[in-house]
Amino acid sequence: MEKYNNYNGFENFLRESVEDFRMIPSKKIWHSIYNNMHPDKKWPSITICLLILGCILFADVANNIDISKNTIATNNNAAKVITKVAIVNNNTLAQAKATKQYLNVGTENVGTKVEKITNLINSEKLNANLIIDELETKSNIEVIENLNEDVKPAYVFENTKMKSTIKSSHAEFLVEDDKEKTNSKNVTELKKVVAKEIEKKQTLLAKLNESKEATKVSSKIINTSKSSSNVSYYLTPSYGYRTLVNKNTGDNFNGNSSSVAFANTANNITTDYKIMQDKAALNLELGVAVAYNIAKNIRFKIGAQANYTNFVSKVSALGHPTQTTLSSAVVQNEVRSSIYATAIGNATLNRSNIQVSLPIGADIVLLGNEKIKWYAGASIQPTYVVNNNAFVISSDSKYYVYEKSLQRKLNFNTAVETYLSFKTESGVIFNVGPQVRYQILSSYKKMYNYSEKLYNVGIKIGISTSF
Amino acid sequence: MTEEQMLTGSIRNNTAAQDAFYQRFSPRMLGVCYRFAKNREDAEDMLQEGFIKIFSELHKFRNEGSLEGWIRKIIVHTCINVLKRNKKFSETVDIVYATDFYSNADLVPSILQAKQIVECIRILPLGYRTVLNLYAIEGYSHKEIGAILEIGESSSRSQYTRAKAMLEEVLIKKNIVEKNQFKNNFGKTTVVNL
Repeated sequence: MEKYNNYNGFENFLRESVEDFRMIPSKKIWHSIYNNMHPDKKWPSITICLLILGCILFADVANNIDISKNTIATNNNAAKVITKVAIVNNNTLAQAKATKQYLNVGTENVGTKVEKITNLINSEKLNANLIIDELETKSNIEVIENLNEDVKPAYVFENTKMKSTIKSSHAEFLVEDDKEKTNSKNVTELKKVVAKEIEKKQTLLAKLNESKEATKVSSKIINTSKSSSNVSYYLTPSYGYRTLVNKNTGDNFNGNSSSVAFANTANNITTDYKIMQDKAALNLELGVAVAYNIAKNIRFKIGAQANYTNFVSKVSALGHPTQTTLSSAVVQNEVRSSIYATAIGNATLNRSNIQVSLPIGADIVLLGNEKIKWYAGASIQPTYVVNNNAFVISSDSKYYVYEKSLQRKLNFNTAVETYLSFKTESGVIFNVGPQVRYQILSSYKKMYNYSEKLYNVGIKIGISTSF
Repeated sequence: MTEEQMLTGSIRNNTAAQDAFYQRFSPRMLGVCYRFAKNREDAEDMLQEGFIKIFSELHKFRNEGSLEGWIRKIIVHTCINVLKRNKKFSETVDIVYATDFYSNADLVPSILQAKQIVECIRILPLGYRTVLNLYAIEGYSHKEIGAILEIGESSSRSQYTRAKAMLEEVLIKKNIVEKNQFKNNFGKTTVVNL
């Protein structure tokens, strides 16, 4: 810059005039900057969103189950109704035949007219119509006893009238016009009743058809929901290790090199720090997941999981506390800590942590039939580190220092897996297959010089049940 | 919170320190952005991008100069980068801009002088405005400006001369400065009649 040396009055005037010019930025600018600087702080909201998503999914699945159960109940009721109809129809037809027979008993003179009535009754299935209203609640006998008030008088009248007429005198019945007219009136009334009952029957048949349609639809729902979701419980024993990279130099750190040790004696820390060795160790993962079929061969899964990850560092131990520095990626040679004391002799640092995570992913069916299927799956796992034993490397690469504050609390894991699924006759499904899990973000915060990423290779074993 | 505490805390990603740091420097830096930007929204975008850069680079500050100067430098470079993403400076000066200049000059509000002058600067064509800001106010040489804007040094000089003439014209027109004020007092400025 020329530092204003060659400036004349115009430039000086301008500079002095605008020097104190200020504007207040809107709050959203700071929020944007803050979110950019602290991406970790987004985790709670993301986690809440995922939980809500999971709840919605669960609610959806649960609702489908209720619907299925209700539909089954409805179908059963419909079946009962249909059965009742059948029984009643059979019974009433038998009743009609009995009536017909009864009416046919008597003289041939009466027979002709009575036959017309009987045929009418049979052809329209009068008895069935009379009883249909009472199908759901009453037995066949009750139905007959409680016939529609409009129908009963005519029906009973007809029967009693005929009965009495036949019994008293056949000739009288034929000769007397009044009685003939009476019978004629009864026939007319009976026709009206029949027409009404036919109408009622048609209404009921329409309802029954609707019920049948509902049965078909609900059957489809039942068939779908049976296989749409399942819950899995699994554990994954694995071997876990890490990658460690110096962010400043980009060098990979080899845990078995001589560059880093814990320091072995008080007076000889520079010559004998070749003992440190990092080794993989047994890890364990436990979890539960709900899978939901989103397509024929693809299913979405979400769950909860606990991970125990660790590896060990075998080091020589200092016989006394010592002070060292931790390099910061942000400030060179910033003193972070630390005094660390151990017993004399060899020591094993158990570099463990416990995480809880929320795996979200998908499985694809690669091959298989009803009994055995081969799946490939992947998931992303927002993770919260519950507890850890954090040992970090000092600036001079001679010490491991217990420094918990540099550990990142929230992280992301990703897992890929492939497994075979065996379905037993009881419907329980056994799953087994290899899984690789990798930690996406460093175990340490940005300010620490090294980036450590944990990974596990293991066998996932689980059981699933449909619901 | 002292400047040192703000600095140290911000480096350690301390939210309170970063907030204080931002509250301390953002108003003035928004003023800087506003001189370069087309409007307030653009200025705020520049400020946001600039402060993200500042916080991520803060550990590189070596206490060799003033903190505000260091921040201002990053902000100015951010403004230039944003402008460069949208425009080629070698193509920015044309007759259309000059026409717009005169029509916009009447819109300058008559408020406080600093605000008035900033508004007068902002109505200059983009190329003029940028060169004028960098040279007259931020103190860059024409050589540096040429390198930053990827234009020739002579082009920077000629654009500045025109920008200066235009600005003087409008300042006089708005009665912010008197005619021949600079000429009489310093004798180096020539008002170009456009």
